[in-house]
Amino acid sequence: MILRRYGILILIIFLILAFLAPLFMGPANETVAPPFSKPLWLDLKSPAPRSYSVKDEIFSFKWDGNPPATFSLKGTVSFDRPPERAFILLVTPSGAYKLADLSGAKRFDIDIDSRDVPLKLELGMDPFSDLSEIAFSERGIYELIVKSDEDATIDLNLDIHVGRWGIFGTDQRGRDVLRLFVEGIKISLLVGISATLLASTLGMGLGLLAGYLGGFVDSAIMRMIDVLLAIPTLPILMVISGIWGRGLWQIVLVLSIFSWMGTARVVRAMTLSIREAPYIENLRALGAPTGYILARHLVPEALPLLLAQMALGVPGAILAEAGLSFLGLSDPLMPSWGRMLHEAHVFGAFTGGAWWLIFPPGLGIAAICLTFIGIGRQLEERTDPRLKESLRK
Amino acid sequence: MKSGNYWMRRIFTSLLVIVIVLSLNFFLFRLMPGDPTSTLLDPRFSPEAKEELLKSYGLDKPLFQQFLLYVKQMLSFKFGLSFLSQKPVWQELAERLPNTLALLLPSLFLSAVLGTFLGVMAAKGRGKFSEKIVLMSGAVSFSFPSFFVQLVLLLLFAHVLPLFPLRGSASIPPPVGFWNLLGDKVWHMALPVLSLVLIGFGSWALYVRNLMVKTLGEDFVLLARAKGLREGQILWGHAFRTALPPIITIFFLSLPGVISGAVITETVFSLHGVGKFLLEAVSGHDYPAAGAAFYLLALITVICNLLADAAYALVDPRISFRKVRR
Amino acid sequence: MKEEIVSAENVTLAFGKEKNYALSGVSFSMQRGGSIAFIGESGSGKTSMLRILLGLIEPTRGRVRLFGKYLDEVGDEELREIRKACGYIPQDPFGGLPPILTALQAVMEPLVITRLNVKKTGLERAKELLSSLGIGETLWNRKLIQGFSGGQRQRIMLARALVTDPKLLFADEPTSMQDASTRMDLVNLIRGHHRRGMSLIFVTHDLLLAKVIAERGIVLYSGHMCETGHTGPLLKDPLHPYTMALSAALPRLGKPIEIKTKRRPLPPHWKGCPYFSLCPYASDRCHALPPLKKIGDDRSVACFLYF
Repeated sequence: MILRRYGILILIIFLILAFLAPLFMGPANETVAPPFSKPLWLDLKSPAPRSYSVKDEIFSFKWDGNPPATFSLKGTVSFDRPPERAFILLVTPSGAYKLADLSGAKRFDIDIDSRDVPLKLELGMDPFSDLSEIAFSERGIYELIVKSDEDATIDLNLDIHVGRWGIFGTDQRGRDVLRLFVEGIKISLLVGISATLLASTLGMGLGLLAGYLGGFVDSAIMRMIDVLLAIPTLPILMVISGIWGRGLWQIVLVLSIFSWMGTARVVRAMTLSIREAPYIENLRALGAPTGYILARHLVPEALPLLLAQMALGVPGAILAEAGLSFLGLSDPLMPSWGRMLHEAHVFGAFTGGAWWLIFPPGLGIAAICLTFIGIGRQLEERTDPRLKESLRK
Repeated sequence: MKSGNYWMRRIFTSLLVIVIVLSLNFFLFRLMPGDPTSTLLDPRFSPEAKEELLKSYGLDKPLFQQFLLYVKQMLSFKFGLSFLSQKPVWQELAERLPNTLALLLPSLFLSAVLGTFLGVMAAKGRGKFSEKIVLMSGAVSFSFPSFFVQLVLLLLFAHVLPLFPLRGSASIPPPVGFWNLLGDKVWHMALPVLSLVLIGFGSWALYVRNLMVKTLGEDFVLLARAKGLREGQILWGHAFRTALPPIITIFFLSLPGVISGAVITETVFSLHGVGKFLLEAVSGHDYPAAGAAFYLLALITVICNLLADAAYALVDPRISFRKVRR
Repeated sequence: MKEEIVSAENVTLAFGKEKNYALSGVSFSMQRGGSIAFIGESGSGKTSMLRILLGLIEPTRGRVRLFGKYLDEVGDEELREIRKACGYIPQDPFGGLPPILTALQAVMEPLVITRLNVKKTGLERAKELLSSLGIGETLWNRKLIQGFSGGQRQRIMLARALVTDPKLLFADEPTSMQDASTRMDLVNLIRGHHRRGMSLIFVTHDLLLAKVIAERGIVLYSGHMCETGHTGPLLKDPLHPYTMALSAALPRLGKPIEIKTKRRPLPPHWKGCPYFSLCPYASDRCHALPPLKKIGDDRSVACFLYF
């Protein structure tokens, strides 16, 4: 499989995306477009969203597509003297709409959205009607006019949002799914790797202890592993995160407390098998110091397997974190993949058929997990089959 | 005598699990910052009810006595009142338990049977189509989050093709008549169970395949072939029988994971089960309910483990539990 | 008289709680340039003896002197230095080689450990040894986990043991997995080193091979020394009933092979002659343990037949 052969490469691409891409993108939690906007490439015929900078009193543009989802006008208009009569007009083929009255002051901060109810009432429309759909119902030349009896300095931004945005569209809060996705890589990798590192350290320590000391310590640790393996992980994670709070590091800590058992077993078996291996005795018979045996034989032999064990442990941690977040038990301000799926589920991505909210995070989790599984298997293949055999016993 | 020892050990481990779960429940909820009564008593309870509950929890006594009292209450299924519904937690759980079992047991059974069958087929036809399917589905079940697969299924078979209900474990209002009720139940549970099977069978198949490939390479299989036995007889009668005990072992090792999966499945499909109850309790800070639901799930795991042990004894009595090293 | 290179005094090894003895009261000494074969069936304590001589396990009683130093008196550092002058071929060719090295690396490793000349002459020497043992160039850079046969591994182990030109070689059944045609390569190589002054301690179950390789033999049965002497007389003219059985079991042309396999267990807590239950000459006096008795110049036997 591709993921298997190029596992490391894909991981590097993920890392670059996670740490470089945010530099070119805005913050993930920013609202950029109407909620549930489709990805751009879904409906290529309708016009792209546009943003015009308006400096002149009469600004005209062409609109030849379906009506946009919303439009907004932001900025300032200032006059030398307060005008007696001044207003902003949107002149369309279907009619003229007075967007704002600018009389009686020197300076106006404009912040108009087509969804504003007072605006619709002002225009004599039903508050539930869609202004952008009515105003942009026909194709042709549109004009934005600032009409006044004084000289005006105009600095306005007209944003026309179609219901399409970016590569992955937007979520229920109008956030860019691509930015959330990229943020999710970071969270997943961070949780997956740090929880696994912590768990491996714990597992190695306890496994070495059990294998090396044997006797009571060994059976106590093994019994502890039996018990921990018999406790359903997700429920206990839920309970603990419900009590301790939902921070990232709490999740990492709890995850690693409940996932060190596999490593501990492997390390214990390895310690036992290596302690008995005849070639270690042979090396001692050659007069090799313990340090040499450790550095040249035990560690190089054990390392690929341990690394493989670690790589294979990462998907578990990532999936567990995603599961917790999917259940809504994560920090709501932290956009992780599980959280994205949680929100897609809770805020009815189905009723809108908003499948672009489901596939990027879901496939993202799967891709990262497959990558780590691929890396783990590759490392495993490099290890001594004899050692693996003895570990299975 | 040996098997007696084994049972002693298994039962001891099971009891240990229960004790640890109970202590976790007890100390996690009680060692939280702030007043311990706030985690046990809903502020909305009347003062008389508070007084009575405080007494029943023994909060005026030392911690160890509180613990003993707590264990006694848990073992006799006295879980207290739910903050959210103001009803006894036990009643709430008893109402939901059948739904959880109706989800867990069929999916566990179906995925084990399907996975085992495909695994054996894949081991037989190495390099063929069946093996590729098994390897693929194994990778999928190890890396795709269950809730993602379920959301996609929901999107496909409940939204795009409205074959199954979008949510819930029964129609509202429920249909009249036993058979209609049963049909309604099956209709609601079909997609959740199928989705769990779809997610679960891959890892089974992969495990069984690896085991069978190893077993088929051993000398006694060669001997069986040399004796002129039919291939099917060798496959199922000899190799599979040899590989069965470890399959049973992995069966009970997989149980905690399946229970975790049930929590998520119940959430995705809005099923009226113990897992969803746990989630609601945890997110609603309904501590007695959360503790009780967690305890119940752990109890189900422990009971399943012991049942699997019994099955192991039936499958291979010769081994008499000496070789079971987990 | 030459100096002594290795000696054992009354070495005894017990294992388990019930005081089973793997070795009891084994003593011998060997001079520089000598060669001794320990001969016995599996479980007779040969391998344990070898490990005790190298200080890999400690005897329950008795002591070992290697290069004039008692092993129980030397420190770790000194013990390592002593071991560096020795070569050791372990019994198990599969577990006895480090799996992560290539064949050539495995042969070079003792040079690295002993810090002898590694660079050029060492490499040449390793290659030469491997070639002379029939491990061709194509195999040199193959890793040991990637499939070498037991026989090939044994030859690599021999090369590994000889590459440092040890003063004393401990070889534990070094030819057990060789076929008849390659066996003599190994034997000749060992004999060549021996002729050039290397001392040799050698473990085998094969009396004939012992005769070919070593000058003197010590026959062990169940951890007891039964008979010692030059290997020629041991083979031709065995004195102890067990040695006789070993000698008679050797295949010879024109002689029908008798195989006696009837074994009766010894009674529990047996204190008498260990060969009692199998011995055709056993009598009541054999209920006591026969001491080792010197017969002739260089010949001892532990059997009441010779009292």
